[in-house]
Amino acid sequence: MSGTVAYYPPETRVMPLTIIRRERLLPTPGKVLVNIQERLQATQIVAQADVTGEVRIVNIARVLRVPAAKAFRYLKVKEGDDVKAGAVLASRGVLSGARALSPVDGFVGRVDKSTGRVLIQVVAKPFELNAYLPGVVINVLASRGVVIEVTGALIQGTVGFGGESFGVLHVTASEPTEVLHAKSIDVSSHGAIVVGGAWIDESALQQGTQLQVRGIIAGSLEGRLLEMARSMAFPIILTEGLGKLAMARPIFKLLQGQAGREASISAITRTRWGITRPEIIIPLPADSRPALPSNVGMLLANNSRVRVVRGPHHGEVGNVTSVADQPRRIENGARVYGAEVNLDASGKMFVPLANLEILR
Amino acid sequence: MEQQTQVHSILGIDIGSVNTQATLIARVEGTFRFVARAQSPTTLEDPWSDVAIGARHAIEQLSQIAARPMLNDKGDVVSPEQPDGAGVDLCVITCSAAQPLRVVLAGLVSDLSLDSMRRAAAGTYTWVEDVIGLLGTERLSDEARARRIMSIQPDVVCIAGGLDGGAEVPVLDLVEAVTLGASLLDQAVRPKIVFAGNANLRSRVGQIVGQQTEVLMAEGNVRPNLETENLDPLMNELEVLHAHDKIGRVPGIAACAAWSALPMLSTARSLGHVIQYLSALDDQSRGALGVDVGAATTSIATGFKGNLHLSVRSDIGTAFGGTRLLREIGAAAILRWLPFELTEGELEAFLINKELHPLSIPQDTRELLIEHAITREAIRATLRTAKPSWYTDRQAALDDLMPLIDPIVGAGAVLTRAPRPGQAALMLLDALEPIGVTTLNLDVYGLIPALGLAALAQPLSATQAIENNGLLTLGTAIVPVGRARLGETILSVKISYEGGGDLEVEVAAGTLEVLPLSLGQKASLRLSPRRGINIGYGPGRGVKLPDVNGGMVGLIIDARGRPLSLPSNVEKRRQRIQQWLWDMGA
Repeated sequence: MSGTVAYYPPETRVMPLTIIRRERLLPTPGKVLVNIQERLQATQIVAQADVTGEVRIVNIARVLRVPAAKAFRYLKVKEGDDVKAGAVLASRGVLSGARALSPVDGFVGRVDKSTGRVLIQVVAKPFELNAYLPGVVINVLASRGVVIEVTGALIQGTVGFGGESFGVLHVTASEPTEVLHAKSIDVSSHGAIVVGGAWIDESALQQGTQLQVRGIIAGSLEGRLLEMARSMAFPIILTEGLGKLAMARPIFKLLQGQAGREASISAITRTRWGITRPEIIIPLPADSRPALPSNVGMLLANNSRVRVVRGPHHGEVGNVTSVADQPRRIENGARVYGAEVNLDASGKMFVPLANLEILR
Repeated sequence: MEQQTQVHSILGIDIGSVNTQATLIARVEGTFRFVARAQSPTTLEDPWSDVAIGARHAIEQLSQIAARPMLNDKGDVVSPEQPDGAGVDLCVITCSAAQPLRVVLAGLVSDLSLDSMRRAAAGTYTWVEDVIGLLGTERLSDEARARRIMSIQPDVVCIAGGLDGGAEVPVLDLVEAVTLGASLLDQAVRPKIVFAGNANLRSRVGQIVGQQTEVLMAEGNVRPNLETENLDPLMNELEVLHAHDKIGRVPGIAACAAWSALPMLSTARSLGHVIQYLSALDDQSRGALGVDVGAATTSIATGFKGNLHLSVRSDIGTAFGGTRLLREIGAAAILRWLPFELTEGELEAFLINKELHPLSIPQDTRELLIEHAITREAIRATLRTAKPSWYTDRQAALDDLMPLIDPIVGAGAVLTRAPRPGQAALMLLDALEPIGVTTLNLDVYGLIPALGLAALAQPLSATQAIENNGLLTLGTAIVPVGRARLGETILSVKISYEGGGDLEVEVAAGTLEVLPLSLGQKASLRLSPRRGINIGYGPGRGVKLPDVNGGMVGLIIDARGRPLSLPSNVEKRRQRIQQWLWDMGA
């Protein structure tokens, strides 16, 4: 392969001020509780739905001792009816005849006339969907959910454990290379989202639990702590990945500059078919309406701001000085296309294209 | 045939989970040859969400490399080839980027219908999410069966059971339970039901399912009788469903499909076509095997006398599915292939980081060897899925080992882009454990996806492109098997080079050697195994091979024994692994 290499790398967004829109959807159709243009709190319930749980099958034909095809003649309920435990679903005879009773509270999900069976669905507790973002409803999706908009800072993480949270950012590190230990988390972190620098120490996870933090944001986490991280009651967001990696300086600086502000965080991570990145959203006032983030991928070019995502300079940030038009040999002997990058911490390096992502 | 003479150029586009590859094959001096290839990241996900964009990026690169414009101003492929050389006569599209079908298997008896369904499901891109058995230890209530369907929300439920003319009531009970579960789901997410059981029950199954969901009848029972397994009908139904419901719904795929005169094909099926073709050539006493280790999928295709067996593990790849593999086989199985220490936590972290950055590549040798260790086990796991379906073709004499296979073709970047050819050869030998005499090849130009599909319209394209050095030969491997003490001489090898000169070597049990026979070189071989040692021609039987081609690695003598065993002592094992890497120049 020769000639100019046109390469469109993956991207991570680190945006000090932008417009953020998030769709909030119920898992099953339900009721939307808010209106368009309504201003919301992050913890406000915006929609709810009844989520069915357990299923019970009552074989009417067998209980009434009638052929399956005739069982439906004796039914006392129809599909959709609410029933209580012990309610009569079907009966045959007036006084001492056989009766089929509902074993649980629920509703009649289905009557199968061909097999003589009635299916009772138990209603679990209603599912409540919160706003997640303190913003404005810009669209209502009938019986499914809403779209909420807010202006603020947006930082995409690399991997997360746990769900969503909302709280004040408590920045404990003064440098992105500082490891997050238990001693960094004191009582002032209680109920806050703790921001560390580099990797999270085991003691910090324990301390976070003790002090009931609402989340931890840090650069990385050692692989040996994965199980522990997954079991935490609060979300954890890693900006770089697994291992012992410092937080990328531009991310750290942005978080440090917003210490004390409230933030919505989501640790939900999905790597394929609708990628979901963990994210930190810091609502901020804006004098004028900022631009919506572009949804067009960027070509890697000179001066592109990039982060190294693998190898000896994993996590380092720099600017592309040239995109090589010929492959070069790297340490393991492979010949690969790459770019010269002036890394903020290490100076000029040749980095394989595959190991670069654009920061924007 | 008239159409064949009109095609002078073929553009293959293979849309993978991570990369999209564009390959140009053209007639050069009358025969089809590889011309150029290019690749670009697949643009399936945000911010693109349109695979046609990545395909155009790759084609633009290819146009530049081949100095041949292939896209018009609208970004569509120019076809047919123009008088000025722009465009191509035929464009073919293959895809492995689609989601697999999420499947639940429901059957009566675990080692009959359910096992057969497992093998049929492995023939295409599926994830088997659950297996519901009516009989046996894990007997479930109707409620539990319905609940499982509800909670999993699969794309498809395959139901089998009952030999033709056999069991009826339990099969119909199963159909009822599955239908019940399906009917409780929102209409939009109800699974389709594919019935591949007792053929006499088809109309009654149709009545039970009724309007609740779509029911498809496979054209044959997976187990029509106790002795017969009939996988093709169910496999075909699943493949059609995958093509329509999954590949067809990949964002942007319709734009790509419009460039092609042929229907799209899955990448694995395309590999299958090529391997089937190779197995029908030359010496039909041996099978042909292709292994494609992709970012998200590992596929093994084998052909025996023209009969194809395809096994697809859509849950195991070099980027996605590493943690799944780890859960399936345990860390020790992967770590045993490393010549250095790595903790289980570090391995899991490595696998997760790779999944988070699927495009990324190893820069140092340590990371490279970890990827190669994962590759060995991904192939071995796929082989375990694949092997049972070969039984009818296996050679009775060597039942507990691999059947005789020649050639072996490796595909997928982790193999074809290995920095040293010895690394790729060692991965294939360690993972597949072939026996006898076999040729190891790599699809370094990424021709297989294109050729497997193009051959349907242009049979000559595959034959000629492969014969015209379309595959890179790593070398011929000679693998003697049989009982011997470590260090004991088990084989004499005499190489007579075409250009003159002989080399005679005594091979000791337990060793791995590479003898000089470079790419483009030819030699005749005389192989004389010791009594009881088999090189694929019977115990103790020698052979003279008059026309053996060289390769990038050379002539490989793998006398390490089969099945391959590694020292249980950690230090000794690491030394042995390092020694093998050195032996292979890796």
